[in-house]
Amino acid sequence: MRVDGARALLMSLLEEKVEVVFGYPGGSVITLYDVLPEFPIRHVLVRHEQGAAHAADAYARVSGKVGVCFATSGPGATNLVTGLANAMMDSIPIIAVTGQVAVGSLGTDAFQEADLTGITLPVTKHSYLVKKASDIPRVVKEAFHIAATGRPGPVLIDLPKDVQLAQCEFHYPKAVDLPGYKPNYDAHPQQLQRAARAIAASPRPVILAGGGVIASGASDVLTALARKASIPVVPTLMGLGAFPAGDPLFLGIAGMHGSYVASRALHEADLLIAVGTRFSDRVTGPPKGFAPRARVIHIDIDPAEIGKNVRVTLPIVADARRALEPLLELVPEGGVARRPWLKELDDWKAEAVRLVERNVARGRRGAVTGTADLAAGDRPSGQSAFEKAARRRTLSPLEVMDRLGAWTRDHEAIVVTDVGQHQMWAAQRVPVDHPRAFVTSGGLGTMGFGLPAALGAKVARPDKPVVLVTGDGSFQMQLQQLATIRSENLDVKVVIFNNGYLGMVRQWQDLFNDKRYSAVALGQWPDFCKLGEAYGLRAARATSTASLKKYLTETLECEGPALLECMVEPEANVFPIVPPGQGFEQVILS
Amino acid sequence: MRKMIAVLVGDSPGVLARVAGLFARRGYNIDSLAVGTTDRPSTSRMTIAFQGDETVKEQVSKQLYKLIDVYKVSDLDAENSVVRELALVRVHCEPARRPQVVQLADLFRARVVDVSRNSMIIETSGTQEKVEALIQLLRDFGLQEVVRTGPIALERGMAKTSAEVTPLNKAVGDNDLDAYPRPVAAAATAGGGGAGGVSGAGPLRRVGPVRGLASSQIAGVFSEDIAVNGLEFYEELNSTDEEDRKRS
Repeated sequence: MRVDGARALLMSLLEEKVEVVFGYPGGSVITLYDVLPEFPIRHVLVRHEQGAAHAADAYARVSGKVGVCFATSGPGATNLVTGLANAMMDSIPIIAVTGQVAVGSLGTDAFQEADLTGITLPVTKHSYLVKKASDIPRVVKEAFHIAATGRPGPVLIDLPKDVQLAQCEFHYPKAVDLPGYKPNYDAHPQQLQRAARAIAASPRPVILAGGGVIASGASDVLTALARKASIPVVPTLMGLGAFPAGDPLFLGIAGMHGSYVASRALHEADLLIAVGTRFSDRVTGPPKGFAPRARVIHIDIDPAEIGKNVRVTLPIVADARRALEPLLELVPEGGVARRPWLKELDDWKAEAVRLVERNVARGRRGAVTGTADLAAGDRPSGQSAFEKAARRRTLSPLEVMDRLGAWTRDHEAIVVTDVGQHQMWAAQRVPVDHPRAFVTSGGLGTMGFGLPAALGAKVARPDKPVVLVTGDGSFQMQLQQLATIRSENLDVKVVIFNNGYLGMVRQWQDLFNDKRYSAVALGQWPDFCKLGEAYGLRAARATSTASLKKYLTETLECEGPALLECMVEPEANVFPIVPPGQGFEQVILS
Repeated sequence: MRKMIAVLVGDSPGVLARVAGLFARRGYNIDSLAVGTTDRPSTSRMTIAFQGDETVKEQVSKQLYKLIDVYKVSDLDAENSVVRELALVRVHCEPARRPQVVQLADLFRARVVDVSRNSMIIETSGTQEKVEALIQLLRDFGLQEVVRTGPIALERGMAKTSAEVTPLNKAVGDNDLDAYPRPVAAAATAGGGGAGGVSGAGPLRRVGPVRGLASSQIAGVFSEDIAVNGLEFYEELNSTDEEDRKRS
């Protein structure tokens, strides 16, 4: 069948069962958009290309499928770069199709030309510049294969304008021929035997569960393994949902803002079973001081992660599911042998509470209530309800998060976060019982990820409530996507933790720079309720426990997109925190 | 500490940028990088020398393997591989001193590939130490310009797992060859004239003088393959030399 390049691309996407594309048109993809309506593919028009990449990213995280986004050449494509980097860091499979100037104009600094394959080299798993229309089916087939298999990641397809117009014969290949790409899925049986023996012999084991557990669909096997062998589980930020938060073996997240008991467990463990995790510095702190007493079993599909950051005793290069399934069979029941260890962990949970109470009693740190330090010229001129609220931020962010978490657990909602203090509070306090139900930017820490991610999540799972937890800083980085949400009628609930600060940076300045606040005060503007209303959302503001109780349920349970602005304590800090560059011993608990 | 690896890559656009970019991004320092085609269609081989310890080498290899265009990464440790570098040296040389330069070239089994009134171009290939030593000695005459390919290397055959390190300035002897099976004729080259095509080709044998050719023209070319191909190949070499002369 003879078709033009644009149709060849879309037909290829259909072959890959693509149902939705997030994108933004422009000069060099005009042919692609011209023929797009002929195809049964939903197009979600975002209001900024970065959002298209984040939406495709979250779509992939929630659905387990490959997310797809379109952008035009030059600025459209460069706007995708942050989204690609975000997907790369968190190993999320997305395909970005970008327009490019005509093949003959490449390298001439033509209008809206940017060397996208060059720019994205370090932030994609692979990239293609397609110069012949007849290559399109093969390239798309390979791109989806590369994105979704092995350690997943983003793949870029750069498609020059004239290639979209050129005629070609359409044959979709059945298989890929990639001699340089052969991920190893199955674990070495002998290594698994060794792992099982190590687990059986260990009195104090801990499982560290990363995002790879979710990516490979191994959450149920991991859960079964942990329960069978009575091994406590510490998820990473990316691993939240890999193990049910309600389980007594769940210790809370690891790392800089990890729970006391999780950090202590890692510190005291004699065996660490790390699955689908890359030992990010936010998890380990200085690698030398990380899990100092433990032998490490590292299961990961990417051999380059083995021994990259942390010394490994027993490497297992494999897909998490395919390694854990046989391991589950081999591992003996934990039984009474683990009881002293689990008892110790319970003691530490109690100890954490005691330590915090002692600190609060001594008046050290603890939550600070007060007004945000408003920038000059930003002081309220009148006495409207908004202005009063802006100056009286008394809600405890923890209270908001706990109430929110209770609701999302009851309703099995998907929780999406932005980046900052609210993200850490959410990771610490929102109970996540299922995989693919907590969507957050882990490795790159992309402020502005939240809102487009929430819309991508809703497109993937229209049957589930989607709640975005965001801050006043992050939210303003992609807030134009409110228009996308409204015009696509996506039922996304937005909860803004408004403390008038770039909270996480302010917290570092507070704790580590003697409270010299520099460029962190956001002040009182904008009025997020008015902003929400301007975009056609229902909006409400919570300033007290009473109004929070009332509006939180109302917001979360109303029809259609809605926004709740919570005026929270400006100077509340996230605890525990292990100061950057220091070991667990230096943890600040409150 | 210097490490060497060979990277077999698909001949796709941008593959060099991907490999070089990886080194740059992960903060590894490339000492030299030589690329050339192989006997397999649309496959190139890169010989990369870089600074680092075993851990760095392991990370480099693993990260390279993650590139879709990389087919194979092999370790070229000094013990188990044959390492050669090609250099062209233009040296200042008054007519009166020509015999001295030629003699020096002969000592190193290097070749004179171009002569003009006040300069000569010497072509040499061998271990880096040998090339280094020749360049040092030529310094006395006045170096005008030096170009080096950087090392290229090939793993030795599997019959023996370790070999003596070739001493400085000593060409690989016949005894070397006897210890190894006949090489696969995979000429991984970095270009660089007629001799380039053979300088990376497995275990080496010195070829005796061939009729009609000055020893300086053939010394430094040691491949068994050349002995097999015989005169034809040398004629080719010779004509290349003549062309070189015409051009200059």
